[in-house]
Amino acid sequence: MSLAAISNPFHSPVVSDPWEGPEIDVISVHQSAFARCCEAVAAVRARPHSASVLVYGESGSGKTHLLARLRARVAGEGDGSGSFQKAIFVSAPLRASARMIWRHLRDCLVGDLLRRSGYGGAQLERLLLGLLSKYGLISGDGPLWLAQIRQEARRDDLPCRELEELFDRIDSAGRISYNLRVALGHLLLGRHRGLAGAWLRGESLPEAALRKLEIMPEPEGDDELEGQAHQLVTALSCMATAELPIIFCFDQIEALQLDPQDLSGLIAFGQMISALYAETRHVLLISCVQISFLGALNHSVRGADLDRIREFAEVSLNPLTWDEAQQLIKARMDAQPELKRLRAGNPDPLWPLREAEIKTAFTGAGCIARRLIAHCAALFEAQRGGETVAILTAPAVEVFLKAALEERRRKALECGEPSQTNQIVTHGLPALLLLTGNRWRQRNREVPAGVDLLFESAEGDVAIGLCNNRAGPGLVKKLDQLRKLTEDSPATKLILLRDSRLPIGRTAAKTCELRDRLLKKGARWVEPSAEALATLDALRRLLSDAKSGELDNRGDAVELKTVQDWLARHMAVELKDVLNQVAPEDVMPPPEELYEEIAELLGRQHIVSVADAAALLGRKVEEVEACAERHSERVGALGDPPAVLFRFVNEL
Amino acid sequence: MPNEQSSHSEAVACALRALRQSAQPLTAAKLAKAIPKSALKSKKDLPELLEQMVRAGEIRSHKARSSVYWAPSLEGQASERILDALNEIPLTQTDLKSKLRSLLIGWPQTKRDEMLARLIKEKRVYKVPPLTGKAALLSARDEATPQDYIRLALQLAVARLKTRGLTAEQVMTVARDVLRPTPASPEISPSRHDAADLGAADLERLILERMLRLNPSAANGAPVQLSQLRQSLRPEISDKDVFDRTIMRLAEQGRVAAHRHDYAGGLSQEDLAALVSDGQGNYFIAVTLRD
Repeated sequence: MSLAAISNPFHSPVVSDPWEGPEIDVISVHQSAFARCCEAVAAVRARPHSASVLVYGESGSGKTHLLARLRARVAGEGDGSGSFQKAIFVSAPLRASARMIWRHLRDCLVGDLLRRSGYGGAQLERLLLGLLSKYGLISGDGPLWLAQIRQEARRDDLPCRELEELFDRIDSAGRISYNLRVALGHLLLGRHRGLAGAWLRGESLPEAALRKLEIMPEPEGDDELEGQAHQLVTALSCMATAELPIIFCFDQIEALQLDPQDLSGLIAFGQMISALYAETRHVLLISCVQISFLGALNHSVRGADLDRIREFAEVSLNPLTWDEAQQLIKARMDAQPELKRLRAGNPDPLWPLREAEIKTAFTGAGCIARRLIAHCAALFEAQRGGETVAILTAPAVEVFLKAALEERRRKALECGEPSQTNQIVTHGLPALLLLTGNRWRQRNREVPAGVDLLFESAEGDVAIGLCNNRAGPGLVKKLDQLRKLTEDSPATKLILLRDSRLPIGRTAAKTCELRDRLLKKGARWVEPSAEALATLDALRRLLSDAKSGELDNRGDAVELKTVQDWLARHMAVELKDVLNQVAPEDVMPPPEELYEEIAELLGRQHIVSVADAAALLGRKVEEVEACAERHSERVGALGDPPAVLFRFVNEL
Repeated sequence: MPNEQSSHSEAVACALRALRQSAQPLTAAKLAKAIPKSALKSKKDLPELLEQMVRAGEIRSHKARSSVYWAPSLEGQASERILDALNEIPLTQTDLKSKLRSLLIGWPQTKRDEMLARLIKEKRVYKVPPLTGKAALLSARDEATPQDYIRLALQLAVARLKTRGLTAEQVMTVARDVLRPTPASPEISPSRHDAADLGAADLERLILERMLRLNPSAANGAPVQLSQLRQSLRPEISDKDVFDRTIMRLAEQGRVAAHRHDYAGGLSQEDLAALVSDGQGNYFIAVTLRD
């Protein structure tokens, strides 16, 4: 077999989710940082406290890879039979706003607890079975007992006595609420899994669903929801034991910051870690940040909270040395049997690559893993095509960003649910407004009740109330709080935003009445489409990835500023529509002069060649082409490069 | 009647605005000044109005001094001030209470005590062993750090030597002299050497030692910010290029790992100058000791 027939062993350089891979892992790389993490796991097993580790690294140094290695390790340790993992693993990328940080963590925690791993059951089952076994409430094979009790539950629809007994024993502090007990009972017994899981995640369920679950309705105010999320996370975390600790991995901490002046997210993160540390036992908190963020973290997070974040250890993922690099390269190539066979006959241990060419990726300080792998991918590709080395360059950043945004948008459209709308809007809308010129400044202190986003503008305060609760007492209370705001601060502009997928039924008379009263007082009603929300979700994810250095264009991390500039220039039509509804005159940049001129020209001549347009307007052809591309939703362009411009006409 | 109602609402709004804008609790007399006469029929109505607002939960007061009012959010800010004070240095309960008199002006003393008690109950303030004496110290951390105890020891020395006529600055100068190694010590005496006098090996040793002094956890892989390291060594290595070259040499030797700034392109010239440059377009923000 020739080299040309072998797939490139250096493709897929990035582990972007700790639940993926790592397919190829060289244990000697970042060994000391990994050893400290393992020591921390041992520490939370050995003592009735929690512990925390702060991991630093350049973008692409392998922070997520390290977490994936740790996840694989705690899943693989086992009890000898290989069937039981020894820790519960939770991954929490912090794409969230400060005011919803606990709700975001609740979503991540429950999502991962309901995730299947190891022996096939969900992590939550493992946690509960471990506790039942520890307290002698079940004996023998836990999964077998569970299968039997589920059969009985299907027949008799009775609660699980053992679980009730367990909660009574472990919860002397009263942390596990009645509702949480009921939901966990359903999930363990396999009843109403979808609904119980949705409640546990914090989704707003209709009354009929709550009745079915036998769960009591809870207040739905912003502060109450955040408080409930805090309590639920603490209650679930308190189920960690020495035998089965919980490991929280916080990634993308940089995404908590809207801009360098915004400290609210980092302060909220510090407080959250301090609270988790103080309120739990046998829990390990691992936080990963970019090394470039070291100064921001030191300045923004309160000293006592920072001490908590790095209580057990502070470790860094160092750039690879040449020795480590060689091991990594060889491991990648030898993971492919055909390539390994071909290489076996060659005296050069790095064949088909050459040492001198690999070393061009190194600075005096070494080379980070992502850059090395991308460099080797290009070298390998060149070798496959012939012996001449012509390193493939990364795609142009515009091409890369367009594809990256589209990929995230497609995923958001596939998986988007109205239950995510509040997270998307509170995290994404301030970022979107920032792209338009930052004339509004977000305020996180003294936010009135019922308001989810508060902005200061030259014309006064703008308050946005997210009305995505199901129609019922929670929504009525929220609208009433906003009504009070219009009376207390009549100068504040009020915007009510509701996901267009959540129509308010005619039967919700009180809700409709309150909404109409607010609209009569000048409030604006905005209903973003599913497409607009998916695009906003994609935008915030792209920005979060850029902030945390995970936007990898063949080994090069794309800078945040580049991403922001590109997004501002290529704002999707649906997002412009949302902005026009939210802030028609305040934040949208003034129309571009050239665009106005082109639009006027196309109003007179509906189709015109680019060359003629440039001549008529006294501009360069390239300028006209670039402007047409920026306004592609309004100006049609044909040809490559566009030779003809034409006016878009809306269908009647 | 409607006029009366709107005056009442205006008075409430004015009182709320004044309390939300104030960094400390306000007396009824001060609140009276914040409400226009048109909104309040008579000053005698003010106590009843404020009482109604207290009952509605819009503002708060304390029975220990019921003529003082504050916005609920002010309690959070006051708690933060208590934590900030304890974050600086652990204090005895007596010292903290004394400090809070100037930090939390206008608060009833009982309320200050209650806020502190609540922070202790919520485990945001901890009792930690004292350096001397029996009275426990209050700290924002569950364990006092070695730095905390050193600061406390220096505070104690300043207090004791004040009676002998020494100022705080003089005590600190003496402390620095005491801590400075003797010439026989293998450690380099910073004030007596300049980069020009030091060989490459001395410079490297100086940097490695200072890293550990700035962050003892550096021994276990914690990073040290290069701007901080440069600042700390400015008396000894004032030349930027000498400092940068020494860092890069240490990195090439594998004794430290130098971490590149990911987005140096977006930094100002001033920020770039604080980083270490390898002269080839790479800027480094932090170093860690290699195993």
